[in-house]
Amino acid sequence: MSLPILTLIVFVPLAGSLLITLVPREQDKTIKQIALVATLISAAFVAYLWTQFRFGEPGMQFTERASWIPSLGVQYLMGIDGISLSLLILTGLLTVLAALASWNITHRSKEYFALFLLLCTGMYGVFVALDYVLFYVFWELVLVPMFFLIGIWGGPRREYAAIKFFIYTLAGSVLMLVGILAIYFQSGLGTFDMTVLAQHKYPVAWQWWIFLLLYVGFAVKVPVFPFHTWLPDAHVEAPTAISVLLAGVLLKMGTYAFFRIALPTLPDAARAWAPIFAVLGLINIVYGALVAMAQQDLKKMVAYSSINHMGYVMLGLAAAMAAGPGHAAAAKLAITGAAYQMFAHGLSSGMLFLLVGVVYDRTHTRDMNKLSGLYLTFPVWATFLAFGAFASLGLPGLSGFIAEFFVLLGAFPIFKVFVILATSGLVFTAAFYLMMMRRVLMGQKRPEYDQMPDANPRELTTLVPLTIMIIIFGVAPSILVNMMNPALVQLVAKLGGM
Amino acid sequence: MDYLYILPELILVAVALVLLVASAVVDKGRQGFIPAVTAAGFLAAMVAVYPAIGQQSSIFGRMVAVDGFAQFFKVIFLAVGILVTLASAGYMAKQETSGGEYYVLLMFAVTGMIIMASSTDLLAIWLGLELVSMASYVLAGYRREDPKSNEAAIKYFLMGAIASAALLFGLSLLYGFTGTTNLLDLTNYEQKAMSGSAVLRVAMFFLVAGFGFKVALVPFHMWAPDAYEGAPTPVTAFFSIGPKAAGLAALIRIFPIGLAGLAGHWSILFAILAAVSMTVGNLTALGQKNIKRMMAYSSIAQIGYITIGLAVSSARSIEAIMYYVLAYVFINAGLFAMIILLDERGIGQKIEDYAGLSQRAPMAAAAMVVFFVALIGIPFTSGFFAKFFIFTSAVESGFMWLAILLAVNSAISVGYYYGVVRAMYLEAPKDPSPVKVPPSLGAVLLTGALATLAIGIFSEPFLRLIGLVSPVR
Repeated sequence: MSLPILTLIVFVPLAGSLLITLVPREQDKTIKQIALVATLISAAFVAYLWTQFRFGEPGMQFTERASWIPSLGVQYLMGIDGISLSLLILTGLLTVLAALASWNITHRSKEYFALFLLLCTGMYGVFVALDYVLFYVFWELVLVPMFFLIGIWGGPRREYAAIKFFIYTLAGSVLMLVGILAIYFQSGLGTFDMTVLAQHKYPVAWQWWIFLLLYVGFAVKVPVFPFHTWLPDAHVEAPTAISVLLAGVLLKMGTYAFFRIALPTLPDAARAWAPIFAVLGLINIVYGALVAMAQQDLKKMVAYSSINHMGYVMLGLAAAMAAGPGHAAAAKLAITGAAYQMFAHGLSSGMLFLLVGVVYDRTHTRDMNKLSGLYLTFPVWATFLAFGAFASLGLPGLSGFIAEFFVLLGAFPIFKVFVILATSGLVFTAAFYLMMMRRVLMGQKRPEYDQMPDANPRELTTLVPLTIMIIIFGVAPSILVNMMNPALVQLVAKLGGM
Repeated sequence: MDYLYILPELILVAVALVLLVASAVVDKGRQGFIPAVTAAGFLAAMVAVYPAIGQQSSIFGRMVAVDGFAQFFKVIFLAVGILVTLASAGYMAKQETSGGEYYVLLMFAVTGMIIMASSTDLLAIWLGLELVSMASYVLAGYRREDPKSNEAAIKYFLMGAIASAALLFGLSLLYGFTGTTNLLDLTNYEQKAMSGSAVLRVAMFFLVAGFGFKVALVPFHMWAPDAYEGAPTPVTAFFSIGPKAAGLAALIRIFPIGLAGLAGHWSILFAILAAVSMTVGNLTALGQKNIKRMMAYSSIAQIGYITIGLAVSSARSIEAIMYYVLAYVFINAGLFAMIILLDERGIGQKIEDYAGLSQRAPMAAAAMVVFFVALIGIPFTSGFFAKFFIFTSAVESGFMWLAILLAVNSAISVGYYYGVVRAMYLEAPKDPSPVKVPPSLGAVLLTGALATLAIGIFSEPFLRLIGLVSPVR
């Protein structure tokens, strides 16, 4: 492989960002075009990667290796397996859509798009980095543009939301760094190569503590209860496109890190941690759904639904962590569901945030008490909203169903009680979405919104691809399952399940 | 031959003396050439470091070392001299009391710093320290008409004098024990044999306290916020990088090398000072409204992070300190260029005065973000690897608690750096007129930003250099 395709995917947005800084700020259109083209190029490379990916092959593909700080064993090391590829596809899709959804940004658009592209570089980088230091660099890189994007272009409480997000994540990630360094020194291998460090055996008691450090870093990002309080603030205040990326991609960085780092490197600690993991995942599911039900603000409701959905990822992971040799098949199913949920939630939550943005642009409110009868006012928009809500609540035939079904099915033999409790979360999820639809879509038509146009072509361009993807991945799960399978089999084996 | 190796010092002193005479003889109105000559003097001294590169010897009766470590710090200090001179020119020209003495004092202070880093005798280090301190006292009070500047000078002088006495007392105790003040002899001295003595503990305590004062470690930091706030802003810039870097260089010469055998006595002292300094520095910085005071506490916290390296005192941690100093000098020089700019333009020193700066001076504000990001320790800047290496060394040597405390403190520090960034980017300017950046300050900003990014991304060559010149293996 001569073409450094992963490097291109990661750094094309950065190049676009630098290019934007050279364009005079008056040329708003050019700036937006550069941003869109940059995200499109990266997405096209991801698509190409998808066609070239060797399915069924375990281990890393498309690896790129260069020395960076040899005296410490830090490398510029990138590579992907099926799990990273699925998230790259998600990132590629959502960054393009987010660039389109940002088209109505007029306030300081130059800075906005420069930061937006910087954010894209960080997100792609996290999913391809195989060196701990490189991983950490991208992980932290995401923070700075995100802080400004929320802080400058966000809603009324943007400053509070931005700094809260920043401090929570930074505190988590520096503790994670301590954990990473502890692994580095404990192994004594003098390398930061994740795959090499994952081969090493670590003392069991020691693993427990390091898992704790890593857990805090990752759990803040997911976010897992009780580290979740930054999320509703950040999601609600962020501009639409940024909420899409936050929910669609950024949350996955946390769960991805469990897949890539914590589980394979510290499998013994993972087994010990599984019950705690499961309980917290369960809290996410039930508590997230109940809090979502209590919201008046449409966007806040969608934000809490993310907490609910990420709970399934955690529960699926917990089941695989606890499984042991007796439950290999169940563990495999649960972890597949967890990985699938990352993808499915990216699609559905991205769609819902886009839809909330569309209606907010028109009515300038997200208060469900002030929205009603929108089936009549915005029929096209309303259809998409209903679809998005069904996708999110796990209607069979749509992508979310596959994920949650796999998780619950796989986790059942391992955590019977938890799964039974978690199914109550399913009911609550369905309930708050149906209540939302009743309040927002049905009821009395409001005259003040009468003159407002329905979703325009640009907005439809952002919604239609997601709709199609949600259906495709709802009826043909094998596309994604086959892609991720070898990596997941390997992970389950590593966790002692085979 | 010995004199060839101290050519940089000789050039500095010679230029300083010439300028001293010139500033007395030449009309006040025609002294515009002095900053340029000062910068040229620093540059010439930097070139004069060249003959010593690659040499390894001890000169002047083994008082002065000719080694990579000394050259490394000489170059850094001379770069500090150039940056501070560039940053001072505009500001000082506007002061009523302006005169060539300012630059003369600056050159003497840098000479003192060089002596501190290259001496291997406790008395010579002390002399260097006093040279830096004397010049610094006067520099702090340079704005004679300003009561705050006077207060800064007096506080700094009184505290500094006590610290010098404490240090000297510690040295005398050490001398009484060992019969030598030469670090090379001390290294060979059978230190383990005497490590039980209580008097030696007292000596260690006074040595650490004396240096603690000079580099402003909590609880010896009281003078710093006042001195930082009251001193003319370019002098504050100098204080935040110059004397601190020199103090650290001397500390490395004295403790991990000279008194390695007594690590059991002083390691814990440094660990405590590091822990307290970073925590108190960061927490106090949170409440500051004046950016110079904020930066005073920020630098107390930063020195706290660096001091972890002294507590750990391994080959890796000493390299980490050197890397940190290298990174920190450029970060703070750049940052202060900005503070000087706003002060010079009469915009102010309060954090609220930075409102809307991203629209008034976009490039300068962006550079400032780079510096803050570096001080927090976020990747793609030198500050990340600086902290990372300190971290690494602490985890490696089992100082896990210090590493975790450093992690927590990094998160706390976001709070106050954020205040300035928020003002610059999220608040509307009171006065939207653009702020022009004069070329000399622009040069400092640009150098600082480029160095911060370059050292942060391509850290390997710098690490290799530091590995080469590090005195601890």
